This record gives sequence, C-alpha cells and structure tokens, in this order.
Amino acid sequence: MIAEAWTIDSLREGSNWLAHPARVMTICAIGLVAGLWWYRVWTRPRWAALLLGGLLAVVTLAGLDPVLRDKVCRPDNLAILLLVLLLCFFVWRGLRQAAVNDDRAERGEPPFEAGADDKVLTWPHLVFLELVALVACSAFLVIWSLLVRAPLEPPADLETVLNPAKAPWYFVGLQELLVYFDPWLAGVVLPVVMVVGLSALPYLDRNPRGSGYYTLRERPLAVSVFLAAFILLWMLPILVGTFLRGPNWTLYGPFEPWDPHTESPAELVNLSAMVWGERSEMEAGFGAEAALWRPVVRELPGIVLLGFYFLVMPWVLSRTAWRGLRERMGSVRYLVFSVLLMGMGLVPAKMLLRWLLDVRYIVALTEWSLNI
Amino acid sequence: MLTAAGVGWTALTLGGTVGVLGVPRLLAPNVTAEPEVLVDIGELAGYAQVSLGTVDERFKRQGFWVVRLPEGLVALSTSCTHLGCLLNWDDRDGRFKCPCHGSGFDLAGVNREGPAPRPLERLRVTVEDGRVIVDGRRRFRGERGEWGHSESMVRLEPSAES
Amino acid sequence: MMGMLRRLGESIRASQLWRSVFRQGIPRDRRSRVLAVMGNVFLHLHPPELRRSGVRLSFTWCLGGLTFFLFLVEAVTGILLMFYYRPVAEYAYHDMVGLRGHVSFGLLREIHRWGAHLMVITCWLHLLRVFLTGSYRPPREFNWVVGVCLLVLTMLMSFTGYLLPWDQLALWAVTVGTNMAAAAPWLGSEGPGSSLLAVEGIPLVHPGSDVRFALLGGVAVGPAALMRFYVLHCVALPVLAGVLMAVHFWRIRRDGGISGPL
Repeated sequence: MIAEAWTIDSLREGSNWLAHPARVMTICAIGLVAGLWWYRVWTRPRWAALLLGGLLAVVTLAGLDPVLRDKVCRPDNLAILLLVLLLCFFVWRGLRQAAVNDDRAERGEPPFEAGADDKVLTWPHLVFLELVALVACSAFLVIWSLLVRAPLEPPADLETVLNPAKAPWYFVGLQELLVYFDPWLAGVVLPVVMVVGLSALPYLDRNPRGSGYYTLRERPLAVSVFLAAFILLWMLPILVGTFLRGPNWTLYGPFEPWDPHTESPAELVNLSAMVWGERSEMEAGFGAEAALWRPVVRELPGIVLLGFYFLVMPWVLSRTAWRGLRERMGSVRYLVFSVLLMGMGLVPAKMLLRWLLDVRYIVALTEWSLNI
Repeated sequence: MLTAAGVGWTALTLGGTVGVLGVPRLLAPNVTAEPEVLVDIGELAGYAQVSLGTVDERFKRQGFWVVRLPEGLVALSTSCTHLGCLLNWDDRDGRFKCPCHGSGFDLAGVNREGPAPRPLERLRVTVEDGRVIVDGRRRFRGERGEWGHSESMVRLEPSAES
Repeated sequence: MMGMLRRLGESIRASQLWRSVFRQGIPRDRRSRVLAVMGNVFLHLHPPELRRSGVRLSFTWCLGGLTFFLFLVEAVTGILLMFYYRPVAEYAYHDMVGLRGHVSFGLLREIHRWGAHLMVITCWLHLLRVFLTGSYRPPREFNWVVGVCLLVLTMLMSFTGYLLPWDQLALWAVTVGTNMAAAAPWLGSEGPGSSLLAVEGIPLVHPGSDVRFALLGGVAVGPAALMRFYVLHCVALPVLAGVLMAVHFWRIRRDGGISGPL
C-alpha cells in the first residue's frame, strides 16, 4: 500500500518535472522527428491502434487525479481536447496515406488518388456525402450544446481581474509567445509573419511533385517544416498556456494545484546587461534627449548576434548545406524563404535563451520601445 | 494626360488616397466620454505617518496605487507596461504581478520578472493646501529618465519608525 | 389507400406550381443528373463531374464544406441572438444572463459559441488537409492565399464576438488584444518608432491618435469599444468573409473542383 502510494507520488512528481515547457518542447520535437522518420512503421493500423491505446490509458490514468481534472474539464477546454484528438487523427491519416502512396511510388505505381479519367457524378455521390456530413455535424453541435453550458464570468469590472486571465483558447498560443517577446513582435510582427509565411507557401514551394495526393517522400522539407510550425509552435503553446499556466501566468506541473501566492520566478536580465554587467544605468534611463548612439552601443552584442542569425547564417547555409535548395529556388525565393524560416526559428531560440539563461531581451532599446 | 485613361487613373489614385487616409480618420472620434483622472487622495499629513512600503489600494478603480517609498510618496499606474492588464498587489512577495503574462514589478515600480519591457508609469502628484492631488494626464516614465522630475513624487522625510 | 397516395403525389408533381419550381423530376439518368447540378444555383458550385478520389471521404473529410456550413449556422444563430441582445454596457451582461431563461431551450448562445469553436477547428484542419495533399500547387496558389485570409477572418470574428458578453474574461482579453495593436511599429503609441514621429516635441502618435484609439473609440475598453466590436462582429467581418468565400468557392470550381494527382 505504502509502496503504491510512493509510486503514484513519484509518477506525479516526475510528470510535473517533465511538464516544463522546455522539456515538453524537446520531447515533442524528438517525437515529431521520429514520427516523420519512421512514418511507414507507426502509421500501420496495428501500431497506430497500439499508440492510441497507450495514449488513452495515460489520459485515463491522468484523469483520475482531481487536480488535473479540475484544470482540464472546463467548458472552453473541450474544444482544445477535441482539436487535439482530431489533429492526432488527421496527422496519422495523412501520414498513413503518404506511406501508402510512397510505397506505391517505389513500386512504380501511381498514387492511390490517381485516375484522372475515373469520374463520378456530383449528383448523387458528392451531394449526399455532403448532406450526411452536414447532418452529423449538426447533431454533434446540438448534443455538445445540450451537454455543456456556455460559460459566463462575472460582469466586466475595471477594478478586478481574473487570475490567470487567459485569452480565448485559439489565441492562447499567441499569449504564450507574448511571455517571451515584446508586444510589437509577438502581437504584431509574428502574427503578420505567420500570415505572410502561410500565404507565401505556394510561391516558395516550387516542387512539381506531390500535387493533389498525400506524400512525404516527395516533399520532405515542406511537410516537416509545416508540421513543425503547426504542432510545435502553434498547438503546443496553446496546450502549455492552457494547462500549465496558473495564477500570475506562473508555470505549474499538471498535478500541482494552482495557488495565487507562489514564489516569484527568477529575475530576468537583458543580454546587454549580461555582457556589460551593469543594470543601474538601464534603470536610470538615458532619457529621451540622450545621444542616439549610446543605447545602440549598449545593445551592440544583441544587434551583432541577430545580424549574424538573420544575415550571415542564411548566407553560409546557401553556400553549404542548402546550396542545392538555393539553386532550385532562385535567389529571391531563397531570400524570402530564409527570412521567414529564421523568423520562425527565432521563437524557439528565444524560448531557449529564456529558459537556460534567464534572458529578457536580446536587444533592449527600451528608450525607443524597440525590444527583441 | 487628358485622355480618358489619364483622367480615369488620376481620379482613381486621388480617390483611393483620400479613402485610405480618410477612413481611418473617421474611425477616431473627436470627443470621448472617458473621465479625466484628477483625484484628491487626502491630507499629506496622514501619509507622512504611513510606514515604509505601504501600498494603498483604495484608488485602484481610478487606475493607481499610492505607494510610500523611502524617499516619498508616488502614484503608480495599475496597468502593466507590457500589454495593459490590471496588476495585482501581492503583499507576500512584495510584487505587483500581472495575471496575463506573468510580469512582476517591485515596490518602486521597476520591472523585475516576465516580459514587461519598462517600469510602471508614475502619475503626477502635487500638494495643494496640504492635500495630495493625483493627475492621470501627466505620466512619468522611468526608462526615459523622467522619475527625477519633481512632480513624479511627493518628497517626504523617512518616517519616524524607520 | 397506397394507390390513392401515389395518385395524389403524381398529380402534385404534374401540377403547374410544382413544375415551375422543380423543372424536372428526380434525376435518375446521367443527363438529368448533370442538369440537376448545372441548373441549380446552389449545386452549381460543384462541377457536374468529379474525380472519384476527390469525392472519397478520406481525402477531404468535408472539412471545407463543414466550415462553410458552420458559418451559416453562426449566421442564423447570430441573427436570433441579435433579437435578444443590446450592445450597451449597461444591458449587455444582463441580456446574456437573460438568454439562459428567457428563450425556449436556452440553447442559442451555446450553439453559437460551440459552433464558433468548431468552425475554428474545422478551418485549421482544412488548412492542414489542403497542405498535406499539396493542393495549393498551380493553378490554385492564389486560392490558398484567399483561404489564409478566410482563416484570419474566422479568428477575428471569434475574437470580436468574445467581447460581447461583457464579462471579466471578455474585458481583459480584449484589453490585451487591442494593446497589441498599440504596439504596432509607427502606428501605435507604445510601438517602436512612434516616439520619433513628433513635430517640435509634440508627438503625432499618442494614445489619443493611434490604431488602438481607432479600434476602441477611446483609450480603454469601454461602451464605445463594445459597440464597435458588435458592428465588426455582426456586419463588417461576416460581409467581408462572405465576399472572400464567394471568391474561394468560385476559384475551386474554375480550377476543376477538388484537387487530385495530375
């Protein structure tokens, strides 16, 4: 009995330790790489069923814990759970179909979806399929609405605030990014980069193969970058922000109860202060009238670092590892692609700096509200 | 220039420019119903008795705390310099904490934790006939070196007990 | 008895009224099935013929169609909600509470809210499906861009709707959201570059003149912001989304329906 309790407690503590975003992110990244590497193995129905069974077992076990259940079972979180389930399913189905098509391609057969001449009439084939989907969706929505009331918090009041105050779930990922970046970056530049990057996809991805059917072997770069962005940088922050952030937006393990009085997290320092080792000057401020170059000089380490990251690295890569890619894409496309990709990479890079070195900003031109 | 196409394109460009510049202007009202913050927070003599490090939460609705620092009395804005969430005073930690993104500020309003890029703003405080008046229209920003301004703080002698 | 019913049915289908509405009977042969799709304003969204693989459920999962359907659900429940809701700071919250009891079944708000969540989900998954099947390749590139715009609009519609209950969650979520606008470079008073835009020391971009002010109609979330978000949520964004959807569907149709291997 005592031994059992000890095991469960240590499991809980282990999970709490593992649930730090740095570790979760690493685990998920490794999982994604492994999943893409061995996609022909694990997507086989038997393996996938095994994985699903394991997942359900873990979820059921975790759901027995009242603390976690209290955090997860909130009306607005149902949508997240539904999305996670559907996402797992669609990623599995997509990669499964890709594995089937890639096997066929290796045998010299056309993809599963091929057969341009094999046509069917819209009426009745598509029309009735749509009708069934529509009725099923309506039924699902009505049942959902019957079972779960839409939540309503206390009336708007400028004197008090919910703690933690969370954005609607589809924006929680963005809110989680805001912890690491200045608002002008996380709130304006990053969303714009996301939208522009998504829109630019068809103009950057000039690969003629893999059009109109599921495949991974014929477009490995495109699929892995997209899945990494979608899962690691969009879905994962939503989960972290929703389930691991408690009062004062502090990190809590899944089995840790929320408590509004927690110890303050580590003090953060700007990169310039780490290099020059001075903080007092920054606090006093240079004043708006101070010479323009003084803050720039102070922030030189960060500026040089970012310059290296955004300018030198793509250039070096285009000469070495990505030489072929650059030649295939052409200079303009490669330039846009590398800026977008580096912008995407800045997100986990900044997170790492925060977790490992407690860095607040790489460049802190606070005088001009320009922090990176 | 005076061809139909020329006139058409000129009209389109002018119209487009006026539209693009004008519509945003129409979005911004010339008058708003928001009250201006000019609050009489009481006798200066009363505040002189207060012990160091006290945070007066009575004026949170008006958007500021009255904080007794060693050098004097300041009115700290209650909105986070990160994205404007309402902060909470955590007296156990001695920090103003943000429930939205986890920023934390110390008693003087200096940003210590989380993403907040700059210290809390201090509202203008003046003394008229022995009463302290807080004026929300003028704000002093530490990172711009404005905390040295005489109206950013009511100077007080360190209280007797300290 | 059955014979009478059948004769009644036949005479109804033979009447002038019936035939003026439905020009042909139930399409049973190939020709009439093609005509049924081409001659109907709603169905002609689809080409009369489609590749077999595209129609398979496991290829599209009907995600795009479901997103559109959910948009319609949101429009209908939204109009019904507008009958009961006043976007005024004094009334808004009470009208929300009232919806629970004053309306039969009390389901309106639930369907609207969960439907919106479902629409965001189907929209994201539709994006994933279209990406994984490589369906943005020429000639469909621009339609992908239109789709991305629709995705952004879907999220903006959800976000503007978030303020309308006028509860605590709404107030602070929108405060944060609009403060992000104030951080926009050059255009927002808190953003980089705005402090450089000044004439003789008087700033051009200040809290009373920046993007946030235009969004909220004030410097903080208040009654003016509620009205603005209401109008954006109920009129401006849905109309814009409707126009883009028409473009989106039209282009799918022109590019030969659901994509497939070349």
